[in-house]
Amino acid sequence: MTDKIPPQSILIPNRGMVAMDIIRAFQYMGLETHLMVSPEDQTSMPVRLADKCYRFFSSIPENSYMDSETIIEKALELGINFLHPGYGFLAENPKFYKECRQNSIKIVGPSTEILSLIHHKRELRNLAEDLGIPAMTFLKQDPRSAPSDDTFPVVLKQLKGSGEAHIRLIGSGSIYRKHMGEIARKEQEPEEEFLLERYLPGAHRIKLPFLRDQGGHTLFLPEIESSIQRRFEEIFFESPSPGITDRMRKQLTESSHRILEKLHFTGTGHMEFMLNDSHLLFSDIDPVIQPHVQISEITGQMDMIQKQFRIFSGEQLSQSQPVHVIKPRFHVMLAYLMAEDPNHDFRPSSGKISQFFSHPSTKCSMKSILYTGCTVSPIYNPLVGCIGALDNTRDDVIGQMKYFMKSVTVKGVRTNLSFLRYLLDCENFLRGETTIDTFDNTCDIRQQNRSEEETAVAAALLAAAFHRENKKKNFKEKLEKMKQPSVFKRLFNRWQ
Amino acid sequence: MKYQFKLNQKKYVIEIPDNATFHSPTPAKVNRDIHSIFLGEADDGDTHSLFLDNRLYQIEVEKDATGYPTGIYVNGDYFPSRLIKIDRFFYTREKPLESTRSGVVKSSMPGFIKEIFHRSPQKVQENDIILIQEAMKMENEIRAPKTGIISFMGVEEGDNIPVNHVLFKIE
Repeated sequence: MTDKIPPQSILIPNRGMVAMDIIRAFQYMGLETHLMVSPEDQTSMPVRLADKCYRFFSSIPENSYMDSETIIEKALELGINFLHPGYGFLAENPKFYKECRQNSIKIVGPSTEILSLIHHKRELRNLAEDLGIPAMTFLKQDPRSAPSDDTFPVVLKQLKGSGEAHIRLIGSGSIYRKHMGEIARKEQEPEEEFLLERYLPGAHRIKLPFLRDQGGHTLFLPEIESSIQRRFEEIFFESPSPGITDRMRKQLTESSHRILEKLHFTGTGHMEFMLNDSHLLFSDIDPVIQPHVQISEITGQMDMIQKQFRIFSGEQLSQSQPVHVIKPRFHVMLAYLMAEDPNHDFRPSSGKISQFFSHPSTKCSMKSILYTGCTVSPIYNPLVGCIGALDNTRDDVIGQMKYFMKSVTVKGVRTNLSFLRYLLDCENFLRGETTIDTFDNTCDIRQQNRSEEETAVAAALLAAAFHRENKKKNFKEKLEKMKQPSVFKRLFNRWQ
Repeated sequence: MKYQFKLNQKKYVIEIPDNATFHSPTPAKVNRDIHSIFLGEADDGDTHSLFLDNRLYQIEVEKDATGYPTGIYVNGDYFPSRLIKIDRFFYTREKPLESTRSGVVKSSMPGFIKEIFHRSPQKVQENDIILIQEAMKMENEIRAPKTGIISFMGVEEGDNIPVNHVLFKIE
């Protein structure tokens, strides 16, 4: 009789869509998945999937998913073999990686030195420029003094990390000075914390997913366009990008390869470029797994998280030549389902889901953390699902998505579904010309023209609902309270 | 009953039989057209599902503090709307607790308090940022509605707050 070898285990201090993807990938590989969640998430979907689950004491991110001390303590206590940081929170924090490695916890991700270099946007772009690769220009001056008027609008970003919450578009010098005043109150050295970038309104954002092993073999997957955003957060992804030619694609992979070679990067991630007037400008590297990894999984027909883990444990990619580029074979689209109200300035919406269902087809489906009865917390990111579709042509994918979105019903919180439906009908989008400012400027979808028929239907339904509700209450009394106004008031009302 | 609503800059007069419960198809006259409305599913709270001319619609009525509709979501699409008249009664909007007068500021959404810049009993100018409320990674600056002295602070840094929680009061 042979002794049973205890399975290897992995700790996942994360939540939401990414935690779910990681759990699935590792369970498939036969690892025991240990999840750490906040009290707010203790009945969420990932908890139901994980093998074991531990609770933080507080729901505030700083005391839960971002509390490196507690996470490391727990990992040591449990004798965990690996740790996968996921996405967001501590996933791009070089300090956390360092602390983990000092405590001999194997954290899945790039080496600490490379991560801290990537983390520092200015150094990374300097490195690209030294290699002769055009990068996004940042304004090189001290952020405390305002740039000259002709450079506006500018984008103010955090120099380190990739938190979208702090990105601000600044239109003029006076607003700039006001912002800097507020920042200077909080930060000692603003030039160490913030980065100013020229705003390129007509640009497309292009992401190039890659895998690179320790032997230097690099695999590039088809590029992803993610220009559609609101509040500088991407919500729609498309691969291949409609604006990229074969020549550009070659340039994209060549420059990416040179940067990765120089960095000796191992692992997976996305190279981020901006496409402005058919010039490609290097912008960033995201060295982590993101919720839109689903696209690469379809285009590359592989599980990216499993691949990342295999590369991390020293396995080589199965390719003979140093660089391999996968050509796009299908058209893939991915939309983020967010719990927010596009009709009210994309205000986040939270609450208990009273009803949730969708009707997937073979070519379009949704990964989601929602289920009937679950609660969408007000504390975290409003991302609740990824709608993915694939087909042979772009038009077919749009058709698949449109049909699918009709079937998605979420009751209890408001979602951006109406925005996504509006987007799929948008002419700019159908022509494949959406740029990063398309919806940041006109994201108010209330402005869209509603047909008279639709409005009449809405009016009838509103009256019916109002009538029904008032039938239940003691409406007569209420009506009496609404005293008939005087003739003058009535005239005044009419005049108004 | 006759309802008059304004949607999309256009007036709609909807006539519904007084005792209608919509458990069976009920005729509703919208301006000049007659539609039939039928209840699809028992409602929970402000959401309903109704058939109109044999087509199912999911709707949600948005209401103000006094319980009167200010908008409607039809299958997720939003229509801002205003009640004008019920039968012969004009609806004059009851003034909600006006924050500029009373100086009480309440939270418009659930979230947690990230940072407080001014506390009681500090003097503040109109439009000063009093605190930052974070909801779903989005930072909201809550500003002073008027010039005065903060007389009451209902929250502390790191508090989780529900909707309509009193944040602070200015006198």
